[in-house]
Amino acid sequence: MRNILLVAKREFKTRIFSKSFIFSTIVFAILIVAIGGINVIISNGGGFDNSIPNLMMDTNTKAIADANNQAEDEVLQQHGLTKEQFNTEISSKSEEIIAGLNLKENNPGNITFSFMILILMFMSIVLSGNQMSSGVVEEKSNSIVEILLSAMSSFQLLSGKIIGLACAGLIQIIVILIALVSSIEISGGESIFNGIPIDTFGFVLIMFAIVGYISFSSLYAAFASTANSPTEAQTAVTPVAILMLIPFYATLFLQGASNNPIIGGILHYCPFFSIFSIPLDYAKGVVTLNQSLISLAISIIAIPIIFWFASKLYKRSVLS
Amino acid sequence: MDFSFGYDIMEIELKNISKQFKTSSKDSEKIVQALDDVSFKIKEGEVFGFVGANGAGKSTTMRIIMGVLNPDSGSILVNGEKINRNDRQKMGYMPSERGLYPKMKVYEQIKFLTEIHGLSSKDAKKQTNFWLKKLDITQHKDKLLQTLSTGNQQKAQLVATLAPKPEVLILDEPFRGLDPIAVKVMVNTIKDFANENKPVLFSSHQLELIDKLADKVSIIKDGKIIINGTPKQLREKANVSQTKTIPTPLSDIFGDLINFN
Ligand SMILES: Nc1ncnc2c1ncn2[C@@H]1O[C@H](COP(=O)(O)OP(=O)(O)OP(=O)(O)O)[C@@H](O)[C@H]1O
Ligand SMILES: [Mg+2]
Repeated sequence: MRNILLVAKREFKTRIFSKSFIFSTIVFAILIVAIGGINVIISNGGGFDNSIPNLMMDTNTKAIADANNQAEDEVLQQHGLTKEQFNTEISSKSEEIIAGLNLKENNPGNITFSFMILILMFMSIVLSGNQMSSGVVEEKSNSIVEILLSAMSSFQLLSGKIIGLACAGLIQIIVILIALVSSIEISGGESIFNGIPIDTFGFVLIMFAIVGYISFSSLYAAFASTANSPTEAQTAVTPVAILMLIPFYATLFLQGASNNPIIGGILHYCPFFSIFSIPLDYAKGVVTLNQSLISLAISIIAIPIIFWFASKLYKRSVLS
Repeated sequence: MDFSFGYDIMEIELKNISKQFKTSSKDSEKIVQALDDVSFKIKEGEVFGFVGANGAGKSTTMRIIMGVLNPDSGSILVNGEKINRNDRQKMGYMPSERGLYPKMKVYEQIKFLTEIHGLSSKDAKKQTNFWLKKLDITQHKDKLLQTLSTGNQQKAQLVATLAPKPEVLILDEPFRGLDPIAVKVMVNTIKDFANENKPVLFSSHQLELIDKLADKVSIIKDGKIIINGTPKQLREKANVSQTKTIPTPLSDIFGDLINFN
């Protein structure tokens, strides 16, 4: 047990001090704050004047917006509509459009938001997996693994690596959530991220992200261990990359069909698929918290099976 | 004496170890018999020298002792019982291809490798600093390993082997690439180990070092142990005169010995 923690600690440190981790975390945070802010400007033509932080808007855009407001008011007057009537009209129209796309969104912001989270999550898991595969190959090609495995079992080594990387990934997800909350705060309640139940959503996101890091990095480790050099590793982990892309694209493009019982069932309850689709659909209100928890339980039950497979392959390959 | 270990390793025995490697190229599958029925015993306080040409099977044997490879057949016994992870944790192993993290700081990784051998964080710190100083590489402790010269990397490897307070040393060509000062430290370390009654197994192509250090020598050829004995017995086998005051160097009779049988 102590060795698992020691390996996890080393892996965690190496990861969080790596350039790729620091850079991606900063970029993710900036993206979220920026998108949250930009949407305030774009989507709330009407009543944003004092609610937008100065940093989000320079005087130029404000002037344009004011002009737009004025023009809008004039047009509305010509048609004898009040601003409220116009806004309800607009939102019912957009609901129709969304319904036409067979999406259940009640808030266009949620779509932007959930896609963004989906992509960030995907990238975060990919980066974490890459770190895993380069670490495994580094240990193998430098014979460090000989020393490590003379002092601990391959099970301990692999578990430690997975735990360490999952913890680093968790930090990244927490930063993303903090950026999200800040973006809501900064925009004074006008952010597109408004209306997302941030506490339960945060929980769902964190849990599925952890499951994602563990499931995928186990596989990354297993496949990378068959390679003898970094270039070989690129090829070796291709199956895992594909296994990640399928649920990712499915979640991205089969959204409209997620109320189809079969497609929805696969997306929401199959391990690997649910990692991406549940946080997204929970944010959009397509699945309930209870459904999310059931799906989480299924994914967690699948972890030992995935790990068992991964550690078999890892053990066999890492010393040959 | 650290009582958490509970017991001392007194004797390591290899019993009929065989190992094959399958190497598959494009259309043919080749089988290499790396080890063929290898048996020997390393006793308490004994320095055991392991000699053989390139590809003879020395590294494979050591990897099997360390559990890095599994033998096809045969067994390793420690104090008469089947070897386990605990035993291996107490062994200081220096792999043939040196194994340290290139992009990790020297001190940090040695401390890590020391801790995984069961030492507390405090002991690991103390031991790491002690050996870094002894090998005169303290000034490099906060550098990334890959920025050190090859020789200093070797010394770092040696520190990583010795810092965990091993009870047994399994050293695969420990002298390769060391400068004279480090060779001396290594020689003294091996002697100290023997004086503390701890078993040492080391391989080397430098026969004068084997001659100087080893109580027993095994010569391996094509995966088979062909000769086993003290340096004196080896000289007898090679039929060199024992009457000379200065014994014939082993290097002079190595050629004869491996063509024995
Ligand atoms: N992983 C492996 N796959 C295939 N063949 C191997 C493997 N490891 C060792 N061999 C083969 O086993 C034989 C013994 O190799 P080993 O490395 O044990 O020799 P050695 O005595 O240590 O040689 P050297 O003095 O060159 O270090 C060689 O023929 C080698 O090619
Ligand atoms: Mg060798």
